[in-house]
Amino acid sequence: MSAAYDPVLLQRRGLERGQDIDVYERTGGYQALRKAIGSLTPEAVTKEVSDSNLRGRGGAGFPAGRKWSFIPTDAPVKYLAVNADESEPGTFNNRVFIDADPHALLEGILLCCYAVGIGDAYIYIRGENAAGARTLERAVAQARAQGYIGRGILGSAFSCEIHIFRGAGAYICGEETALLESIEGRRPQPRSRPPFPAVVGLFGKPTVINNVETLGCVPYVIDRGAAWFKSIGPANAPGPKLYCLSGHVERPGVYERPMGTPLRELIEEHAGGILGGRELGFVIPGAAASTALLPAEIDVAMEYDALRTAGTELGAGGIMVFDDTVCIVDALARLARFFRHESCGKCVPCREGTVWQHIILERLAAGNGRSDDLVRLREVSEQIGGKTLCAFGDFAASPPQGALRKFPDHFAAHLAGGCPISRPSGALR
Amino acid sequence: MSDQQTVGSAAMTDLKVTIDDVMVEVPAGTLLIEAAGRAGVHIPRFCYHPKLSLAGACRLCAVQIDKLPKLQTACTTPVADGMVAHTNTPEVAEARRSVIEFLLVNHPLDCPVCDAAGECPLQDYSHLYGPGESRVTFPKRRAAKAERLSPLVVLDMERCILCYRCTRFMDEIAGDAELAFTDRGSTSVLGTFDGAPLRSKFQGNIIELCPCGALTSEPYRFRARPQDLAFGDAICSHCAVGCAVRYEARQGKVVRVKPRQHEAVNEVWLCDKGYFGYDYVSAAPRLEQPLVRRGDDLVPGRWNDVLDHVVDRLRAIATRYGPESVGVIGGSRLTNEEATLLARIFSSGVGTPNIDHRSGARAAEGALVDLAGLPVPIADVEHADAFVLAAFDPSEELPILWLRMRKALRRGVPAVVISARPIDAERDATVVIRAAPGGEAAALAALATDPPAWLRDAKAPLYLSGATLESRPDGESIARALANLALATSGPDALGRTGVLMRAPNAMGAQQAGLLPGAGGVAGGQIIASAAEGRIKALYLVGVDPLRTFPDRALVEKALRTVLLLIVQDIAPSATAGKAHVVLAAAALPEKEGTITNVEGRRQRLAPVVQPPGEARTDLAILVDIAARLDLREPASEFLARNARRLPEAAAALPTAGAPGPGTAMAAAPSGVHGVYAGATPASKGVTTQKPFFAPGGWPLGMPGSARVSPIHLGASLPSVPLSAGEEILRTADQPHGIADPGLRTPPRRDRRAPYPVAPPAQPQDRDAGNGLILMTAPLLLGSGTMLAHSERLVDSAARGAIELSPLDATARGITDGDPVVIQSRHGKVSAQARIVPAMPAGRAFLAENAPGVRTNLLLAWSDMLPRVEVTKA
Repeated sequence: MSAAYDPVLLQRRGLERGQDIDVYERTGGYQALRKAIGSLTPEAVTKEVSDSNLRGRGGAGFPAGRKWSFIPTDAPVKYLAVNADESEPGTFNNRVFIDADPHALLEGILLCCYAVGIGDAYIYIRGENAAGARTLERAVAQARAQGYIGRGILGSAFSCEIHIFRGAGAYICGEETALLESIEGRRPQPRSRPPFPAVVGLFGKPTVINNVETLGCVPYVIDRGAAWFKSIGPANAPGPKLYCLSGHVERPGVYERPMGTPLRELIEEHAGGILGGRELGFVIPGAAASTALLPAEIDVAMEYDALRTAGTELGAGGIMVFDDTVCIVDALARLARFFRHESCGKCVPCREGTVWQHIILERLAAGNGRSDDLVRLREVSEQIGGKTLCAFGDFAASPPQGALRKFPDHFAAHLAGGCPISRPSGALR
Repeated sequence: MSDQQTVGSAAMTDLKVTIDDVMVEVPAGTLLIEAAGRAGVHIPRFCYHPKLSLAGACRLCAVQIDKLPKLQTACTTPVADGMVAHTNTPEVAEARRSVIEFLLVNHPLDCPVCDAAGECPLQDYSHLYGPGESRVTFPKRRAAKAERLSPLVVLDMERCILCYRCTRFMDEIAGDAELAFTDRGSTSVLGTFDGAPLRSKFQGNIIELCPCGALTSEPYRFRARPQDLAFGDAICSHCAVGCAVRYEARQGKVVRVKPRQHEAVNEVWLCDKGYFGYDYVSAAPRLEQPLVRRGDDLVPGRWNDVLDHVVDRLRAIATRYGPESVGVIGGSRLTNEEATLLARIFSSGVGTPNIDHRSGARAAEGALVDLAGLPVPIADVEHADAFVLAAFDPSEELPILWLRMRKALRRGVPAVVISARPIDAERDATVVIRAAPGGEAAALAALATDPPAWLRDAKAPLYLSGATLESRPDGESIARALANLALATSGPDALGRTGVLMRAPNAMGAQQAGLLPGAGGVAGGQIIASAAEGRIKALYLVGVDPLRTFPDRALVEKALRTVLLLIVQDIAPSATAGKAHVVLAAAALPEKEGTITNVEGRRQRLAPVVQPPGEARTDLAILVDIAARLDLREPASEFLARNARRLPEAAAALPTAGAPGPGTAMAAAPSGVHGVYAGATPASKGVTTQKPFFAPGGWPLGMPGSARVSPIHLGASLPSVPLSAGEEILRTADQPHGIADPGLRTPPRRDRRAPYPVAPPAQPQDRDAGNGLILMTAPLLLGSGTMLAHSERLVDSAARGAIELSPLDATARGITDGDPVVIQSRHGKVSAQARIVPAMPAGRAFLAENAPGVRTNLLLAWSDMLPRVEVTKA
């Protein structure tokens, strides 16, 4: 059994009126902001976040404090963009967190803005999450009424506005520069870098872009200290983590555990094991873009570096569990359709390559594969990976590449016209 | 997308970068793709264009950089000191092969029926870098074929490779955000909002920028193959900017025009009038032989007889009524050489002071004449730090100059626009002053009493007005008010930054050649008025059509009825020519050799591209023969004696238009004509001949691999190439601004530092005050007229044959957008369509003077240029 763990980020989940500011304040909310404004310099706030080694929860794992410190201090106008676009299949922790504790997100935003000297923050929330947007709008109104948002916050010289911006439903808007384009009212397509958003970001100004979960950790880092934060999870990637478990598990949902919790523990203990007592087929640990893991590989610690060593990615922590009735070729074909549909089309390898991948995988899944399709699939995915304007291309290219390596028998069987799984092929599609 | 880095000034530290073992030093901020060009290494590209923001979309320019794990796109990578890059590795070759393969997955490969074939970067790069055979085993994406984005531009969406050059051009350069992609990924579709046709005046440029056959020219579609075209470098003959162009001809007929790069003038752009407005040369009816009136008819004559007749009649009238009874209007479409000769014939030869190239001008001298022309080089306009634009509609009057101004405005340079009607330039202005009709001078005077701080503090302001001032009763007042504002706000040298900009292609040259009223003479418009009064007995009109353009049709009709002799020298039949006693068939600018001088004073060389039709002759040949028949005093006769003999040789040097071989340049070798001018005036030294505007590594000739490629694909047999999509552009940093250019002599300003005396503007009495709308008029870029004859699609694209009404006035009259209406002034009545313009103030209306199908000048009177009109639904 795993060690006892008191939730931090989800501590108010299920609390009556937990979305309300008075409940939040009564349970310790906005204390970190009061502490920062009352007794900490902006630099001290950044330093505390740097010392905590809080790494970005969106998937890249870049240290948040370092990201903040890139912003030129002398820039008169700068922005924070909060990435709540959460659009990847199998990822839903932002939605649960916003629902459970919207004020914690706002407090994290305000602390970031205080530390970096930002006067306007934009929460970019995916359009489909209308409930989340309403929750945040209500929370912003409450916080403004209590003097946490607006001019001269808590009687200090610090002023900050929080704007809520709803996307229109495109996966690419989660890519940070496409997100900025979208807020600016343009077609959401990634920008070429350099210049990086820390220099030329939203409306051409230096901009911090952080994930919801990352900012959700910040109030606790300030309130309880970097040392406390680092006491949770491994040293290279400390702190709490919201894991999303979906697919063939008994209890799908969001589970907050220390970063680095073994994948096996999450599946077998917290999610209650494989649905219906069947056998595990494979796990996609970091949502759509990561390479699937075999049953023998699930003792891996769920944090950035260990998963990279295992040849896959943590992503935003979306764990998709597939039992032994699912053929990886079918699953990949379905994912390839997603990537084809969501490729923004700006750069050539991703736009054309995702279509080609999908066509080959569909053909293979249907048992109509051609003799050179496996070679072709590998080559096409290699023509995408590492060659694109943003990371989307890598996301789209790595699942087939990893699967070709790890599941040769599935592919071989499909090429021969059958499926290793005793089930009509294509049922997932 | 961010603004791209530009090559910095020499003051910046140079960085050393090595590309394929060639080391070059480039300024900090240089992009690797540009540095490679300097090293003689061509890096292929589709989305990259040095004039547009960076996209990083096509990935074709990926190169290997030492110490970096992944390939990097050279177009988005600024060089670092000591950077070592490779383009000749297997990884780079594989990346290029991969991009080409991906692009061809959905490209229809319909090159045999594609206009772009033979000059298509996608085709060329596919041959150079592509895989050679297809691995695609599934159907290609289907999309719209031959979709009209406008009357001028055709989209084939199946061919589009989504490089975003067209959308970036429209957003960034033209400022007409009309074109966008909808949908996503491989199903992205280019289009306009709601499918409305493009309205931009710069549509031709997106055809030029397109690196495949997705965007083609409707007028040129299926007309020719590039290898069948003969061509010649020339100067655009539509406005005073003088853009560098290339005329391309098939079987002696001009079938298209392409821009050439001239960084100091048009950079790489053309407006649609320049790009599409070529039908007047070869397709429209032309005057092909001299005509003489016999009763009601104009009948063809022999040149010698006709010119004898012309000279006899001129001499007879000058003798009987005095030389000042002869009036000459026009000449701003002549070459400098021709204009000089025309001025000499009539001032020295005939001896009349009534000469003016400005057909509607009111004032013989004054601020309007003093301030004519752009006092700074065109290239410096983008470096201005404040603009005052008064009674000036730059995007209609001088479109390519407007693109220069937009470069500054996009940077945030402030501008105040003073206009009585809404104009495009207001979109980018800081302050818009909506003057009363005829109230621009008052608005300028008011601004002078309290100019904004940014204008007072500006180090390099520009105070500009436009060509409509010439004929406006208050034109001189506006010019004076503009000058006085400049002097009051920007100091005693401010007239060096103040200009009233002409529109006609060689108005500057005509002015410098002396086609202006002499002592005691009257201006162009007054010549018409004098003719109507019977004081001027003979009118010699050169390239002007006052019946159509003069702002008082009744007065022109009277003048033409009254004069004893009307001679019209022009390229095409016109309303005025139909009333003439003698019509002299002249050559158009693309048929002539010589020089013209643009609005900034840059003298540029013309070379004939096609032959004049039939027996039509160059104006120079016509004028020389007239001069030879006149008993001229010195020095004109000497001038002629010295030079006349060389002219037949010049004509003989013209190539035969009908039979050039494929890809043969038609431009003639320099011949004697230039010598005529060189001897004529001391100012003619340093004509700007066309430099080789193509960078050594230019597309497609300088491509390092070009030796490996069949000449057919690269057009390598062609002696020069037009700009095309993959063009590697010579950077401005290499070309100092025009100042050092011997061909550029910015128009001088009198050493005037005192304000002009302000007379209360002669406001015509508003006899119909309170009744109807005040009608404002001006010629627009695209309208009816000799130069756009037969360019119906182009004129349609502007859709400007309508009277612009405010929503309030339209509603009050029950008029909706597009309704046919009747417009009645006390002078006349015309029919037009209505267009509702939300920004138009109530009580005013605007109608283009050259509105297609509308005789606007019926509504106007020389003494009443802002008439009241009643507009009713037809």
